[in-house]
Amino acid sequence: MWRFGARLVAFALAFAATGQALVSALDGAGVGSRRTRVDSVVRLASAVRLLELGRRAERSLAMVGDSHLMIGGQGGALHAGLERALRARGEDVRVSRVADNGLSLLGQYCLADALAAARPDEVVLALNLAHLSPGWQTQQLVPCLVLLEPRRWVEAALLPLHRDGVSLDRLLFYGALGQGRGLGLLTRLTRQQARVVLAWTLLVDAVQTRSPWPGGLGYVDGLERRELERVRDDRGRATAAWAHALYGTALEGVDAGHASLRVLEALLRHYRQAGVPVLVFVNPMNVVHLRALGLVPAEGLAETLRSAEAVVRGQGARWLDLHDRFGDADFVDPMDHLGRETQARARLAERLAEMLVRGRPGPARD
Amino acid sequence: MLFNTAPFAIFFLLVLAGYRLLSRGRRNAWLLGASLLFYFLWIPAYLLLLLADIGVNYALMRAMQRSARPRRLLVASVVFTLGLLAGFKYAAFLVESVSPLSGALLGEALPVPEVLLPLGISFYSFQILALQVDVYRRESEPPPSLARFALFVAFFPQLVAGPILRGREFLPQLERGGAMEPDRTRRGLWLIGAGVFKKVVMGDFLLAPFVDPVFAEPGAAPAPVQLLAVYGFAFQIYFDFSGYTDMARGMACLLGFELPLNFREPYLSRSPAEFWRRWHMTLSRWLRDYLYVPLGGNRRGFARTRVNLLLTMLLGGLWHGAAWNFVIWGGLHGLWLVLHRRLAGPLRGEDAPLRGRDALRIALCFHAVCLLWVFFRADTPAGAVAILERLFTGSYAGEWPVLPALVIALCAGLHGAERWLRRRLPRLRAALGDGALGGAVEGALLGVIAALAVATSGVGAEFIYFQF
Repeated sequence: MWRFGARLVAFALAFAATGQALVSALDGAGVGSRRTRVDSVVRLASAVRLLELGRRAERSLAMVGDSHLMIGGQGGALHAGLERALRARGEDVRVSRVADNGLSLLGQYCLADALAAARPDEVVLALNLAHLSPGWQTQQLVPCLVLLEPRRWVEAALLPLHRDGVSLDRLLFYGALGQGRGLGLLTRLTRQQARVVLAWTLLVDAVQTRSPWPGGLGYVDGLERRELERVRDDRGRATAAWAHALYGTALEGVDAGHASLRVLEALLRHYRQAGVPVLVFVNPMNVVHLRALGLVPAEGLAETLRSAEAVVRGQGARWLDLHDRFGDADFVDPMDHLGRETQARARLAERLAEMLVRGRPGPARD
Repeated sequence: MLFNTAPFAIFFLLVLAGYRLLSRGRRNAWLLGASLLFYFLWIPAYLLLLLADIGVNYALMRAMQRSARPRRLLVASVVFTLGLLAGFKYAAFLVESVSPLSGALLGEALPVPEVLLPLGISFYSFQILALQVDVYRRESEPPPSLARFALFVAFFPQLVAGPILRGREFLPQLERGGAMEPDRTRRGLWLIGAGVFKKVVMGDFLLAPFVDPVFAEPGAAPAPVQLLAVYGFAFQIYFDFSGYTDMARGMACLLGFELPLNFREPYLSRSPAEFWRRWHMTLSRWLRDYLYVPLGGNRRGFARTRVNLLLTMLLGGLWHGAAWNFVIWGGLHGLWLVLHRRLAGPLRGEDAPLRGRDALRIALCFHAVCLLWVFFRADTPAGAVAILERLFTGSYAGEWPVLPALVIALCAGLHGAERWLRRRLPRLRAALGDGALGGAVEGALLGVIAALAVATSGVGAEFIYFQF
């Protein structure tokens, strides 16, 4: 008994002392905290709460999506452009952004209930067809499960979310964290873990200069390496390999039973059940460049769009297909983000405002 | 659930607490329930597949005992078990492989089925087949009940990634019930600590972030980086897999069971034959006893022995994954074994202590293993060729990554230290003493390991052998 007690006390002391020593060493070395995916989840939840609390305008719109809604800062981002365009049409409206880089359909699904509960007058959902590709199905969005209401756990367990890293144990674990006070602890823990990774990266950089091959040391950010390595085009556009990795399945064609479309269907159902109207628009893609790369077969993309539209309309949401409405010069990077120079984002905001003001289900294409 | 995750830690502590509180007669039922829950928590629907595999095989096993023609029932079991394995693991590979042919003949390619591999199916299928064959050969008694057979197959510490158990080494333990002795518990804690350190700190934190990007762009990195990544992968897969096995063995110890050793410092081998006796030992013995020997082993002459070796290694490669690079990897290992037998003949005393003159043989063997790992790790055979091309034709005059090189040197040192430690561990434990002070020192060391693992687990790589 004594030995067991001594072991337990020594374990706890050593665990705490090592953890504290690591934190002190990181503080001493000036290694700051890093934003983690859990922080993003907390921030998204805050954005939803703000939407609820800060409602002053007559109409409140929530824009949900990924990095396509993030770029441009507060003033230049799409949601701000949309608000301006709507106000110019005489609408007293506030457009809030509920978005994050890489926020896939899993993250949007987890957010749906909380967002619906905030009672926006309409949700505008930016559908990035890249999210249908296996390349986007990472485990990074799993912490979003903390946002999921317990009444959705069974539904989530039955949805095809395995490739996004969702298993029943994770669902229960993160779900329980969301219900209890565990999220704060998890946030602090993941920040410290991210600091350790950052410290290690800085150490690698400190002991040697960077190799001529950008990923030469290996310990570089994945996206940075991809941008430098995969995209050699003089205008920074996608190479065929990159574009294929980005859109893959969506270009080849998917049916309505595709795993990601089933998740889209489920999240739209949540809004429908809550009585929140939704407009789903397809993010612009650099189709001109994709065609030049020989990556848009005649039927594949069209089949994907037909399937997605059927899913969207089937859940009573409106559909706006803008995937091919912009030219090659409108895009600034291989992720098909729209640039500022050609006023592409402003034009996109105008198209969206037009559709929203029309206020009723439109035709298959705008 | 991955062993190195918070949900699993909670799950295991609850299972262990319940197990220790229950009376001996109820413990196996508790373990079976926990094992099925463990599987259910991954993809619930796949539990039905596991139960079907267990139910059908148990029925066939019982029938085999009573039948005058048991061979037919054994064949039925093999067809059923391998059929499930083939359907879930190899169907997509088969369709992809014949697709160009169907495209040429029929004018359209066949649709590739998208199937998620059931967790641990390669491991538990082999475990079931081994027991069926042993029962058929009357080398093992069938389990006394369906529940016992189900626990033998689904025992959660080894369900996902082995070790692949034999009936005669585990069924008697289940019959007796877990024997929880202080020394076994202590060993179990150390095995879990060692496993967590190998998997999380060495494999996921130090090696994966260097190795993965280099292999993601085959041939893009300069030769020195490529070379270190190849060495790095050799250690990454070792620490990853052996760490996972250590955790499995440690958890079994805490539950009062002993699982067989699966790795014994494989990179200190002096020949390919010795390597396969030290690497994934429970798979090697399975391939030997249930494939190589039934094929005729070395009893049917020179040529047939070589063919048997090649065939065994080709199928062993295919077991690791449904892709051509795994087949090539297995085939090359088979060729190496054949050549080694041809040139060196049967070696004696391979498990004898190492001597200075073994250094060259160990170095050669290690490098050959590393070169073959390239086919294993690369996504495609073309990617493997691109890496090898860069390794053999690239310039080594450029900059060498310093820290990755130091990490690999650390890995090599730890690998050697494992051999040293394995032999001296009982004496070290004795030196620590059984008193409260010895217990406190052990507890503190485990606390340090746990803290390091928690701090570095932010990278969070998947377990490499999950895909098999």
